[in-house]
Amino acid sequence: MEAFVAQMLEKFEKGKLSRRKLIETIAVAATTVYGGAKATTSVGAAAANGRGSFRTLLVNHISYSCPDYRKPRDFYTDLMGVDLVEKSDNGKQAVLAFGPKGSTPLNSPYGIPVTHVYVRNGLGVMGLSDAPKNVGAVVNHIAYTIADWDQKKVLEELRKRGLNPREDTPNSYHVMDPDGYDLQISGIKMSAFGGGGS
Amino acid sequence: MEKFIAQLLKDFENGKMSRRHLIQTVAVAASVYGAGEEAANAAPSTGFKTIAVNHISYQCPDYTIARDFYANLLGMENLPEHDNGNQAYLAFGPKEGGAWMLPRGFADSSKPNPLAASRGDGGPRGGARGGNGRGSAPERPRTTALIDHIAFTVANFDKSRAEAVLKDWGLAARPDGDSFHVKDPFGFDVQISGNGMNAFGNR
Repeated sequence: MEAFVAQMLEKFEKGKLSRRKLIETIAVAATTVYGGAKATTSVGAAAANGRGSFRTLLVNHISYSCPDYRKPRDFYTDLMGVDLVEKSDNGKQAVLAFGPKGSTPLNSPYGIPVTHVYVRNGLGVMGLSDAPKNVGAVVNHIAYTIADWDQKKVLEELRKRGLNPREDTPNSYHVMDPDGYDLQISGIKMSAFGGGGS
Repeated sequence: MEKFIAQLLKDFENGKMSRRHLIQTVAVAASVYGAGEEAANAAPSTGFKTIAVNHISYQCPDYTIARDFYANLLGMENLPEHDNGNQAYLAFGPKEGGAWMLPRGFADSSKPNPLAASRGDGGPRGGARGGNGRGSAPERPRTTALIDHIAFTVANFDKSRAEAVLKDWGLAARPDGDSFHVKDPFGFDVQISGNGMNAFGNR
């Protein structure tokens, strides 16, 4: 958080950020992900005190598969007020984004994470090829953003647990939960913008 | 929070506070404030403004297994006082403005898991799971879990307005506490929740 505040202050001092925007940005950051800072623990520390290997901060993204992604794309943007991410629509999938006031895509100058919804064609992606015919849409995986992402440590921990992690960009791993449900564990840099992945 | 930051900034500009002190104070304050303030996006006129995931409803044959897995691996906080024997509450994120993951048994255990049923393997408990999810063959997993709905928190939720909006959309809205459930174009259950909605006692 300190680095973030320092960075914002520098932008303000150089005239790249208005006073109003500076205050708003810091306030929003404080109330969202950075607000979890007090709960943030490193992988090792969390494991040691028995509160879990990782510390989940927020939903990174929801992967929503269906026969025609344009329908949920329009439904969720129109009714639910989520934003269609620019240039994300490739004819087979689109990326929707939402978050608290002031949040912007991750690799933008302000770096306050949003949650994405990937609406995509086909129930077959990511291991649900035999999804039932009577199910119109499937949430086939959810990615969670954890605190203190360290690819090496996360990989070690997942291997130690015998979870057979599958890398998806340097910022996330997929594993199967005990129900065989696809769980994606992501660093905060995981996003549709540069962080890539699914 | 904004007022507080504005005051600090003023002190900094007036030379009453060092740059370093300002940064530290704001950072510390942020962790104390936690996620205490709600993000008040103005709701658009024809619908809602989604600001957060409120909760994820995760149905599976044995919620205790999912509960322990997500608590132990992902550090989600299990709230045992809300565990009703068929459902657990796992909290994550900031104290306020965070979200819940809700592992629960199938709503109607007399009916087979729709996922399992389609494969003809006899329901949630009847079939092979394609490995134990702990290292063997991750390809083509046969999941026995189903995310049956996701609740989104929208800005400035007002129940009567929400009801009117959903009626305008021609959506059958099922009230559930401080929220409504509707079906999206593919029949997926979407829950539209107010900021004050917590999942306790709600579905």
